[in-house]
Parts: sequence; structure tokens; C-alpha cells
Amino acid sequence: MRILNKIYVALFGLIFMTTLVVNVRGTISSYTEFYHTEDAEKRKQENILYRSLGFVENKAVSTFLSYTGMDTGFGFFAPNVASEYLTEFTLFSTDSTLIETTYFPNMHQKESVSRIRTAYSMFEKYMESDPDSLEIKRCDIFLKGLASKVLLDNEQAEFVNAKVQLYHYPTLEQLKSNKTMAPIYVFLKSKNYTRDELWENYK
Amino acid sequence: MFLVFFRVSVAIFVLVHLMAFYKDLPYLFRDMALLPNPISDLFVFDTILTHFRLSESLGFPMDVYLNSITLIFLLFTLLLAMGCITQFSALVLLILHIALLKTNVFFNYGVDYFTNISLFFLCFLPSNLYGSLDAILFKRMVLKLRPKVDFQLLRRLFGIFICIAYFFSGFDKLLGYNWRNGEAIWKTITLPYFNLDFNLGVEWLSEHQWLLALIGWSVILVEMLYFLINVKALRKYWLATTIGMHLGIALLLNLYFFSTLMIILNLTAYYDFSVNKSYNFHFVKLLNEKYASLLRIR
Repeated sequence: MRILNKIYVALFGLIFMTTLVVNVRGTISSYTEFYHTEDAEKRKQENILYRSLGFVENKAVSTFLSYTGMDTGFGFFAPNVASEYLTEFTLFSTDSTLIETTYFPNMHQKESVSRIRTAYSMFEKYMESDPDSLEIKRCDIFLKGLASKVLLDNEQAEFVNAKVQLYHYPTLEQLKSNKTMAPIYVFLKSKNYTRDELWENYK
Repeated sequence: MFLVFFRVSVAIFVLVHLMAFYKDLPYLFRDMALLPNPISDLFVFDTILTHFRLSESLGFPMDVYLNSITLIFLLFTLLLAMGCITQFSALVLLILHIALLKTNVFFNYGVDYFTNISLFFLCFLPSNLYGSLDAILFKRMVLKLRPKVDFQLLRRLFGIFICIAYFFSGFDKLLGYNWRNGEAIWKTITLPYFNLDFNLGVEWLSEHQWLLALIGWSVILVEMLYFLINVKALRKYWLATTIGMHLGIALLLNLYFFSTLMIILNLTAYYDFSVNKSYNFHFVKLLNEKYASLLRIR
């Protein structure tokens, strides 16, 4: 085999190794988080295989993986399809008259909606108990950003109420016992933002 | 041929994909980002280059900076598509693409990882030995290199990578009981932001759980056993089924870019380009004969 082809084989060998390591770890992680939500972190640390492959979290390895696009596993939509979180923005005028209700900021392009919707998964943290955690603060900032966009797009509105809900469509099991069961919306967060408060962001 | 297809289609894909959210860049990655860049930046290793960090260190306003970067990005996608300084163009695109995505990691999804992987492959694969400007500009070097590269070996290695990716995608689904009983498919098609474009009526499926379970198992098997595509007799059918699955994802989940890129990767690894060529040739020959006979009649 010529030297050039040997180099390609070596390169692909490295890619296969990293792909296997990242995916095995990803599989253990998503399986544990799905079936043992309560003590997932503890169980993962007890798993010898998961621990022994922990070198991928090393800064240098992780940077290499980021630059090759192989920093994530391929288990999309698995082992379970994630739930969706919905937002509802209700715009009011100065005298609290309802102007409009919208469910998503108005974006120019559809692909942007897909991208922003991906970030909605962070709202899962609203179901956790610690209100002072960094993750919850991040969710609050994101919700404020979404509310800003909605409010500043409507010149008549003075303040906006932003609401986050978990969307639960009836499962097949539930539909078996109740064919007319309606989707369930689990309330997670609601907050009002005024125009003055939001402009503070841009000063 | 497969590498030329891969290079040109990935370059076009990257360009079209960027254009597909270009107008909303201010709300995704610039100073008006819905999740401000400084917040997102806290979740990225300090060894990774992001446009936010670069613009801060250079002292350029983010909007001016990103507009210039977009122009450079466009220039290098064109260079990559034409196969001009190919590997370098792919490397520049990879760095710019990752720097953009890492500027706000929360707005990334599956397609972005596969785009990075594709660009990374183009950084070292010899996709410029045929059908490229490089082949004209560096003719002597290219002619020297051509016989040294084992293209079939490269294609097999590329195929193994796709097989590993699909195996884990299918295996992770197999682990979820919801995928085995049809609930996962049901949940996916009833999620509020999916199935919006064509609004296909899917409610009737709830009456036929067996059908949903069958679809779930089909997805698991097509993905997990994807390596069977290497059996020559199965290749055509497995490729058609996998592409069909991705068309289904595009239709139902409206994930057009993800589906397109996966189809590109599948075709690159397993489509028999030479068959197509002979088919076209055969078709042209038939047409010529038909026209010739028509002319003779006249």
C-alpha cells in the first residue's frame, strides 16, 4: 500500500476510534438519564466503561472533537423523543388592553425558527427545584430575549406577558382509554416585561 | 467521481444553508441575539475560537465583523465548489462554520454537526484530483497524485464511517421502549412544531398502533443494519430505503437541511455513479436512434 493511502487509513482509523468512544459514552449517558433519571449522574460515574472513556472530556481532546464535528453522539431522537416546550406572548397596551397573542417571535426565515426552537429544550430546567441555579438564570435571560423581540416588533404594545409551558400530546396508551383526550399544557413560568425594562438591554 | 459529487454538493449545501438563516443572523449570533452571546460564551471551552471572541479581541462591532465574515464564507464556498485551493478552502470554511456555531451553541442542531464532519472530511480527502480548478492549475502535481490514490479504499472507509453513525443512531432508538411500541413515532409526528408545512393528517394513525410500531421498528432496523448496504445485492434497495426514510423526515418533521445532507452523505458513500453515467449514455443513444429513425421517415 502506498504511503498516501496508509495516511488515509490512519486518519480514518482515528476518526472511527473517536466516533466509537463518543457514541458509546453518549449511549450510556442517554440510556441512564432516560431510565434512571433520579440518580443518573451517580450511576454514570459508577459505570466503568463510561468512566474509562472520560478522557474525551479533557480540554484538548474535546477541542479536537469540536473541530471535527464529532463532539456529539448520533443518537438523535433517542432513546426517547424529547418533549416540546411552548411559549405564549400576550401583548398589552399602556391601559392593559390586550393587543395580540403570539406563540413565537416573528423571524424572517424558517430555518431560524428551527434553530431557536432547539434552544427551547433548556426550559426543561424550569422543572427543577433550585430557582437560583445558573441554568434557570440562563432560561430567564433567554425568555427575556424572546419577549424583547416580540414586544419591540409591536409599536403599540407597552408590556408583554411571556409564558412557558410543557406540551404533552396524549400517548397511544392514554388515547386507548380516552379517545377524545386533549393535549395537556403544564405551566412552567410566567413573567411580565415592560418596554422600558427591555430597552435597558440595548443601552 | 464520488468525491467530486461530495465536494460540490457540500459546498452548495453550506452556501444555501447559510442563506436560509442569514436574515436572522442578528437574532441568532449578533448583538441582538435572543440568548446574548456573552451568556452562551460561558458554556464554550476557552480553547475554541468563536466569532464573538474574535470580534471582541479585534475590537470590531459584531455586525460589521459578521458581515465581513459572511463575505469571506461566501468566497470560500465558491472556491470549494469549483475545487480551487480545495483543502485550504474546506479548512477555512470549517473554522468559520465552527466559530459561528460556537458563538451561540444553544442554536445548533443535528445538521450542524454533520456539516462540520463533511467539511472536516473535505480538508483531507483528495476531492480536487478530478473536476476541479486545482486539476487545471496544478496539472503536473495532480497527474502525479492520481495513480497513487486508492479511491475505492477511500470510499470504503467513508462508508464505514456512515455505517457506524447509523448503527448508533439505530441502537440508541432500540434502547428506548417508546421506539419499540410506536409511541416515539406518534410523539414525533404530533409535536407542535413539526409537520407544519404540509400539515398531514396523522390522527388516524392512533387507531393503528401496530402500524406506528412497525414504522418504529423499520427505522431501527434500517439504521442499525445499515452495514448490510455493503452487500452488493442489497445496496440499491438499502440506499433507496434510507433515502426514503430521510425524505419522510423532510416531509413530516420539515427538517429539510438535515435530510438533504444525510442524502448527500448516503449518495457519496454508496451511489453507483458509473451506473448513472451509462444509463444516461444509454438514454442519449436511444434518443439519437429515435430521432435518426424519425429523420429517416421524413
